[in-house]
Amino acid sequence: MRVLRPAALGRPVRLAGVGAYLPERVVTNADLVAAGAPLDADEMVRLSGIRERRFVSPDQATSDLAAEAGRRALAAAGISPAAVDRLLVGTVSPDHPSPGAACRVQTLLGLRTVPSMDLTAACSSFLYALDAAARAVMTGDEAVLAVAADVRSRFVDPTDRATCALFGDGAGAAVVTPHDDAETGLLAIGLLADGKGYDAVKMPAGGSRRPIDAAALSEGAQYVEMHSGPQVYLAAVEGMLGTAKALLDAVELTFDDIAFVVPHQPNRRILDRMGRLAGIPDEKVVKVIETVGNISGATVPVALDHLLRSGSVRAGDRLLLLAAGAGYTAGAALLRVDEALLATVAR
Amino acid sequence: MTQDTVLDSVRDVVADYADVADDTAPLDLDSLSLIQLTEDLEDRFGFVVAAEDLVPAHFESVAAIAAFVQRRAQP
Repeated sequence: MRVLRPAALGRPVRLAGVGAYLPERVVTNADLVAAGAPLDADEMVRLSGIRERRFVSPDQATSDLAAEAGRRALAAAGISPAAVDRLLVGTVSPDHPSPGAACRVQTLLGLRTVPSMDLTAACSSFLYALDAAARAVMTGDEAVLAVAADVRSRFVDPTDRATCALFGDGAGAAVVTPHDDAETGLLAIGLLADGKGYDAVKMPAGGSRRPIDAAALSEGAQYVEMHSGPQVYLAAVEGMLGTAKALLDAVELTFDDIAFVVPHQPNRRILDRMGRLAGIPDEKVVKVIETVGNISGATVPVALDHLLRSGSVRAGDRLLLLAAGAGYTAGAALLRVDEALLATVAR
Repeated sequence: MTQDTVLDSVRDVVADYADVADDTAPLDLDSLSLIQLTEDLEDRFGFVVAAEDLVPAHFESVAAIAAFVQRRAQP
């Protein structure tokens, strides 16, 4: 894995502000049972650690969530929409197959006619967007809005035992800007993809290989499917710990140097296994899964926003963002919190 | 560890999740049981199971698990 170190290339970057948005509708495990889920509420907790999640209202789609998270990140950063040079929206659930959700987000936020595009890296999409944003800033952009947003609730079979309780909806965002300090900000980021996992978690219909037709609908092929949950479980931990180790080795640090790990959260048990194998104390692993479920790429920025607003972080703390997702994709980013970012949570 | 010792230990671990009267009988494990069994085996034998190793050929019976453990536990 090649690790990008902006400051080492003479162009440090930072996160100027972070924001998150969760739709208002709370869906408990009991609500899912009432809707036909084939396992009881306690089983859902035992299998996943998830007690509730948020679902969109009928009039909301991914771009609405992305815009609100983006608006909050810009407000936190104190940066006007007119100052944004580029918009990246990581999602696997755009409003439509085409055009990209980013163009609607651009309009909702009142950005200029700046480049605006979706990118697809499943649950790793925030880290993929962050990497692209950092590279854009290093090559001349002054402010890039990196968003991850997903509406998973419309793509889950409510009667599928393997997936019905796992997913929620939400969005998170960060404003990425140039920095004047090589010791803080986004210190390193690395990504990888391993297409051997291509079939592990997928939505079989709705793309060019299999358009949605009557047969696909009758099979439920428009929904996300996961045939080997235990194998995906192990692969998710391998993806997060593999990228973490490669990144930490590149910057000559260890988990002991990290104040908080902000991981993707597909399942509480995955977080426990990751901590156990890497020797990370449980209190260092930021967890939001119990109340939001797996919100795909939005999980990491939502957890980061939660952490920054918790009052637990101090200037100089190193945060390790980790993700792994369908594809397989994975990524890790090292963030050293600067005073200015901490000050934004009061805005 | 000898083959018999591994088989005895695997039988002991699997007994928490399935009937172990017949070492060659197919194990009918749900997802959670398979994950817990995998992690119990890791604790008992001191290695980490890779995702690519979590396939039916390695976990379909007590005998299959014992053969897998024997291979993985070898230095």
